[in-house]
Formats: sequence, C-alpha cells, structure tokens
Amino acid sequence: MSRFRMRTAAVPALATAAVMLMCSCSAGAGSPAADGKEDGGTAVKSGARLTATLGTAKDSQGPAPVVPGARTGGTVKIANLNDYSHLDPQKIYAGESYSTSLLWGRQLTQYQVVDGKPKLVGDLATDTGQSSDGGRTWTYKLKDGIAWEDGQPITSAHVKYGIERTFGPGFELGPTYWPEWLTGSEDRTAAVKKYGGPKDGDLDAIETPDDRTIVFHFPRPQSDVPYMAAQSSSSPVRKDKDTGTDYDVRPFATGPYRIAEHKQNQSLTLERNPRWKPETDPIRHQYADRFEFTFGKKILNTAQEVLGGRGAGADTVTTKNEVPPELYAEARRDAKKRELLVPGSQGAYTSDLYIKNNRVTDPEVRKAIHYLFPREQARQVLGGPRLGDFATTLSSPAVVGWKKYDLYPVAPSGDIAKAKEHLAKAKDKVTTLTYAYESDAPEKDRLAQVLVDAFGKAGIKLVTKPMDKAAFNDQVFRGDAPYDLWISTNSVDWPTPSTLLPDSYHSKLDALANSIRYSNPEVDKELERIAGIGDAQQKAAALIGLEQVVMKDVPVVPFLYTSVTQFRGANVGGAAIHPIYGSIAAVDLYLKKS
Amino acid sequence: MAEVHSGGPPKAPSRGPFATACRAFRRDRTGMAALVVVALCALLALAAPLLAALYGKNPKEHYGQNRPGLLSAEGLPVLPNGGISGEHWFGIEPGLGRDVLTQLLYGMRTSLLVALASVTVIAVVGIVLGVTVGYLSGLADRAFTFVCNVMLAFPTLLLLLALSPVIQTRFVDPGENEPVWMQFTSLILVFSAFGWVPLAMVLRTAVRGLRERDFVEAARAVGAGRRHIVFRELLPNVWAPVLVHITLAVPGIVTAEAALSFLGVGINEPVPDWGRMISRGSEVFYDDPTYMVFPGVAILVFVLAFNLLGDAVRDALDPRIAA
Repeated sequence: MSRFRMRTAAVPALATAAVMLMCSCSAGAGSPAADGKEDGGTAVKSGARLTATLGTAKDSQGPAPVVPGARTGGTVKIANLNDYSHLDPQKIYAGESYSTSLLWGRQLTQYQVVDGKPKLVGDLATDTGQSSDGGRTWTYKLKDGIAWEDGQPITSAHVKYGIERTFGPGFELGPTYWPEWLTGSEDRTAAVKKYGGPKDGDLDAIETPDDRTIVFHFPRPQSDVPYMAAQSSSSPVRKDKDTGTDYDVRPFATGPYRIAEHKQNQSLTLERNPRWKPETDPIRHQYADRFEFTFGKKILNTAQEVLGGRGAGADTVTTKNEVPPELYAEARRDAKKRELLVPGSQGAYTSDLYIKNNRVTDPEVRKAIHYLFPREQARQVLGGPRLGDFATTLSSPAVVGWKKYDLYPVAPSGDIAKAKEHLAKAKDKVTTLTYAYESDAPEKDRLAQVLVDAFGKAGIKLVTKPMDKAAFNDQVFRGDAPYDLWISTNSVDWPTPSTLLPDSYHSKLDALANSIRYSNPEVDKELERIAGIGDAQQKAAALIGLEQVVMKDVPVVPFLYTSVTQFRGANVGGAAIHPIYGSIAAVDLYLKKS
Repeated sequence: MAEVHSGGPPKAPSRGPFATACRAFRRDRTGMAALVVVALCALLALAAPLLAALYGKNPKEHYGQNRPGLLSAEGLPVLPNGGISGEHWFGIEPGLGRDVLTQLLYGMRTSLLVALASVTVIAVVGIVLGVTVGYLSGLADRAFTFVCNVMLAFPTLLLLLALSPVIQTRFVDPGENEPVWMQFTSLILVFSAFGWVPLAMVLRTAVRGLRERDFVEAARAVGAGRRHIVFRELLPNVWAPVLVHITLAVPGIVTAEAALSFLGVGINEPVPDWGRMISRGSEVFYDDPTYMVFPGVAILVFVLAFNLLGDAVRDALDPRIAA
C-alpha cells in the first residue's frame, strides 16, 4: 500500500475550497423588469410579419440588390458542427441546407431578401410562373445567359431531368410534392408506381417545347407551384454529370461558387464560379473569393474563438449552429460580443405541445392541458425569451395569410384554477398522463420537471418518459404508441398554409404525418374541398379559416414561434437570419477587411 | 498485533487490540477531526427532513419559477452570488429555481444511501468469498482468481452507461415512471458487483498467510471444524483490512456515483443529487459560478473527510505505525 499520507493533502485541499468560495462571488442577473425593457432576447421579434410576397418579372431580373457596405475578396470561414448529410439537390430537405446550397445551386424560383423581407422571384426562370387551366398547367421560361460551371447553358431539359430524379429510388429523402402533384397521387408510393424516375424514360407531365420553356401538367389544380419551384428539388441536373451517389458529395454548380474540394465530415471548399453571371441572378452575391467550411469542432470552442476574436475567429461564422447556452448571457452583457450575435425568427417554425387525440379523447381534458401548460416556466428553463415569443396560433406568423387569433386566452404562467374547472367537466376522471421526450440534453429533463409540477398542481400525475432520439422517433410516431404528450418543433415546407393542415390533420393520413391522430369528419370534408382550389390566395384564406375550426378542438397547445441566435466573427459582414430558411444566409456574407 | 488475538492469557493491564487501536486513533488529531466531519455529515443526512422543515423549504419545489423576482427571464438568479438571500441561504438553482441548501442536504442522503448500501454488500460478499477461498485454496482458489481477473478487466463505467437505457425500456412499464428504488438498486448492484473484488483479493492473501500459523494448526489439531476455523480463528484476524477497505470505499463510491450523475446515468430528476448539481453548475459556470461551489465544496469536504478517516483507521490498526 502506498505510504503517501493523505493528511498532508488536507491543508492545500481545504485551502482550495476556501479560495473557491471566495472567488465564487458573481453578479446577479439584474432586475427582471429592466431586462424586460430591453428586447428581452429576441432582437427581431419572432412574431413579426415576414410573409413572403410574390415578385414580378422585373423583380426577377439580376443583379441582386447590393448588401450595404459589402466588399469583395477574402475567404469566409464557416464552422459548423456537422457536415451536410446531402448535397444532392434532390435530396436536400432542411432549411439551413436550402439556404447554404444557394451558394452553388440555382432553382426555378427563389426568395430575394431585402431589409429582412422575403420576396419570391424567378431565379433561373424569368418570373415565378404562369398558371392556366385553373392551376393545372404552369409554364416557366428560362433566362438568357444562365450556365453550368463548365460554361454550357442551362436548358429546360436539365430542369426536367432534375425533377424526374425525385421519382427515383433513393430520393424518398427529399420532399415528395413533385411526384405526388405530377401524377395526382395521394402519396409518393402511389406516384412512383406510375413513373419510377429517369430509368422509366420521359415523364409526360413535364413538357419542354424548346430549350427555354418548361410546362408542368398537373392532374389536379395546384396553387403552390411557385413555392415548390424554390425548393432545392427544383434544381437542374445534367444527365452527363449525374454521378449517382457521388453527386451527393460533389454536385455540379450553377451558382456563384463551385465546389473545389469536399472531404466528407472534414471540410468543404468553394471557389468562385467564373461562368455565373450576376446580371442573371436576383438573389445571390459573389463577394468573397472563397468559402471554407470546416466540420467537427465543438460549437462551444468555435463560439469562444469567434466571440473572443481569437485565431481565425474574426473571419468565421456558423450557419448551422446556435450560440451555446453557456455563453449566451455573458455575450449579451458584453457590448462587443453582443454585436456579434445574430438573432432572428426561425423561418416558419413553431414549437407546440402535442396531444395524442386518440388517447386524450375528451376536449375538456385537452382544454385543461391548454390552460395549465406553464409556457413561461417552460421557456425560462429552456433559456428564456431568446427561444421565441409565445404562440397562440397553430401556424407561424411567417405564413402567407396568417391571422392572429387566441381562442382560449391564458396567462403565460398557466391558469391552474381554469384547468381544474375543465377537468371537472370531463366525462372520465383523468389522473395520469404520460409525457415522452428526447433526453438528448439536461434541459429537457428540467423541462419535464416543470411540466410535472404544473400537472401535479392540477391533480394529474405526469409520467415522464425520457428516450434517445432513435427510440423517440420510433416509439412516439406510431398509431398505438402509449404516450399522451410530447413537444415538437416543426415547420411548414414553404411559407403558405397548404402544407400544414392538409399534411397533418386529415384523419386518413398515417401516424407519421398525423402523429396526434386528429380526426374530425368535418375538417376532413373541408380539406378535401380545399384541395380542389387552384387559386393560391383563395386556398390560403380557406386554410387559415379552417385552422380556427381545428384549434377549437385543442388538438395541440401552441407554445412558441421559435427564434434562433447565431454568431459571426467581427470581420464578417452581411450576416442575418434568412426569414424563410431560419439561419444565417451564406449568399449575403462578405469580409469587412481582407 | 492482530495475530496475538488467540494468544495466551492477557497481560496485567487488560488491553485488547481494539482498545489499543482506539487509543492510537484518539491521539490522531486529523483522524478525530475527520471523524467529527463524517459524523456531522451523517447526522445532517439523517436529519435532512427535520432541518428542511425548520428552514421552511423543500428540495422539490421550484421557488424561482413560482415566485416572481427570483429568476430572470433567462432563468438566472436575479440577486448576486447565485441568489443568496435570507430566504435562500445558499441561493437558488438556475433554471428550475429550487433551493440549493435543501438540495445539498437531500443530495447527501442520496450519496450516503448509495455508498453505505453498496459498502454493506461489498463487505459481506468480500469477506465471505475472500476468507473462504483463502482457507480452501486449490481449485476454488484458481476459479476465484480467474473470476476476479475477469471482473477487474470489466469496463464498469461503460456497463453502467449501456445498462441505464436498457433498464428504462425493458423493466419499466410505458405508463409508469422509472421507480426511484429501481434507480438506486441498479446503481447499488453494479457498484457491489464490482466492488467486492479488491476486498476479497486482499482477504484471500491475508488468510493464506494466517492459515499456516501455529494457532490455526493448533485449532486444527484439537479437531476444530472448517466452520470454526474460518469464523472463530481466521475472521477475527482480518477485520483490520476490512475496516480500512470499507472506510476508503465509501468516498470512492460517492465520487463514482457523482460522476455517473454528471454523465446523466445516475439517479434521475427529481431526486436531488450532487453529481447532477455539479453538472448543472458547469452549464451555467460563466453566468452563475456560485452555484457550482456548493456541491463542489460539499463533495470535496465529504470525500476528503472519509479518506482521512480511512487513513487514520489504517494507521491506528497498523502495528508498525502505532508506536
């Protein structure tokens, strides 16, 4: 046995403890009233109206409006935690990837952002599309001077081939709208039986009378084609450059930059694409010489470097990640660091407390949950107002046609007395409910405790079920899953209401789409009627009207219109949260000094 | 001195080995101080509900969330130094706003319960196996050594990390919370399953040495059975290493349990736990360093006191040191 005498260590150890105690004095968070007078965390109110408008053909002409103060040259470094799981334009299906892939990829239409306001304009196309035949036919004309990175012109056949790919095997990862719409099918499985991708030859529903013209023929009226044409799925792909799975690592560029090198999970380097002509592009800029993405570094370390301006921190920005909660309050206190925070509304995302309607069948119980839900405490334990503003509607204010409504007004801290009243009206006494959550971060455990506390006060025992991500996705989104409540953060696929109710609240949808098992025959009937409307405005208005009918049943409890707070280096200019994609828009970035 | 236990008639001033050890221990000032701290900890843990009632707080209520003015909108204590006030002597927890002092008191109960229960199992299993095998030798000894080597090679921490979700999904009904007793039992079982090995190995070696001594030979010669030799002749001579091992095992288990909770696989919310408090402290370290200090210092003092106590016990029992 070691003869080291433990007691000799006692004095220094106790001294350490004493020093720790003395050095541990810390300032308080100040009076909450003063804090509330500031913007309280969200500089851009997430409730702000950021609805996309449709631009004209004139708006669709390049070049893109200049970012004030922008300079050219230099290398912008982008440090994200993870590499992109897909770069194949027809496989990309997430806001930030949509936004960043604009650097090298172009679509039929795209969102032009000026002063934080989005406008949908023609990108490769001369406008956002002309519809005829009550929305069954949509025609796009391509611009002059649009070219691939090798100089060959982009033709309508390339756009058609790109959209045909979405039918192919392996492309279920992307959005399923093109296959469904073009074949008039209920879901993708039915659609690919009619046409299975480029291996089945030509898709008759897309006509290319000449190199510049694309005509879509839909069996049913479609009102949202201009928005779908902005999705990454609507990017052109050249048959001779389609390298199959390799295309997912290095796609062929049409935008202002091309991929010089992509080492998976390590780095992605972009260089200027000399064939891109700014006068054809109303959205993108070509300020920096290069973009260097690096992946794998812990975000806490990246954020410390960037906010502290150490190393390459000043030239670095992140497009994917948020300010770590550990650093947030300190960055808000320090005026210099505060400038480097980039807050904004997270596109059309909303966070809601989902209730499994076929388990909690009594609307009175669901109303009780609505009243007792401690929104304020829940947001506080997750990090406070920077997470977003409290929501009262199902859809986000970023959605076209959105109207504010508050069917069952309640204080943010919850109303236990009112909840008890509704519980008393319920036919069957509810004593226990289960709450499932992804236990990937300790604040989720604390959030569960907040809910346990609130439900307990109303006399309901809340059983908490922490699960890992895989188990959560596997267990909760089953029709017969034994869980009553969970919190989910979701977004519509584009900022109109047409992918919200029709894709999640029809009783015939499967448990993956209609995960709360909402079922209301009248809503079903109305949704089927609305599906036949070809006019975008009428359709949006009808869906927004129906939303309140749905919310009368309290199928979910709205929680937040979510916001994000990202960060940029002191030398990086043009960093702002994209109002549609909800992350820093890479196409606007430049270096202040290079 | 240990082996003189079964020796001849005691000398004039009757002083058994225990009394000798006690006298040596009482002369050891550090040891006595450590004993006082340990006893105080035990007392605080035992009396936690009473103290909390006197203090007027409980460890589960979210004071900061339910009373305005305690936490900012971001969940940080409004008052300086982690929200220390006449109301909350050690401040409040950032986020949930629970009372730190009662969390600490109840957290000590968690630590002590896991450590003492594990140590009890370890002592019983270790003594029985170690002494028996040491006496038997032969095939039993070889099998024992093999098992011990396997157990020592086992990655305990990884096992616990892998085990905790399995227990959650396999043994807990989807409509029920994971019972607190199950969390404690699984922790205690794993700590004991691996903790007995070093003790048993030490005892085996000690007993192998004792087995050939004259007093055992003598007992065997007068026809004593195996049971008598193991329990009456051998066991009384190995209590010194057992005592030392136990006092040193307690702080080891307390830190291991805290480490597991830090990693998120120990005792879950809402049972107060020091490891989880430290983990929370590290999350808010830049904004509220005070919060980290209380569980940090508590665990430091607690473990240090137990280590010093174990050290003093060893010194008092070791004839080479007890002058």
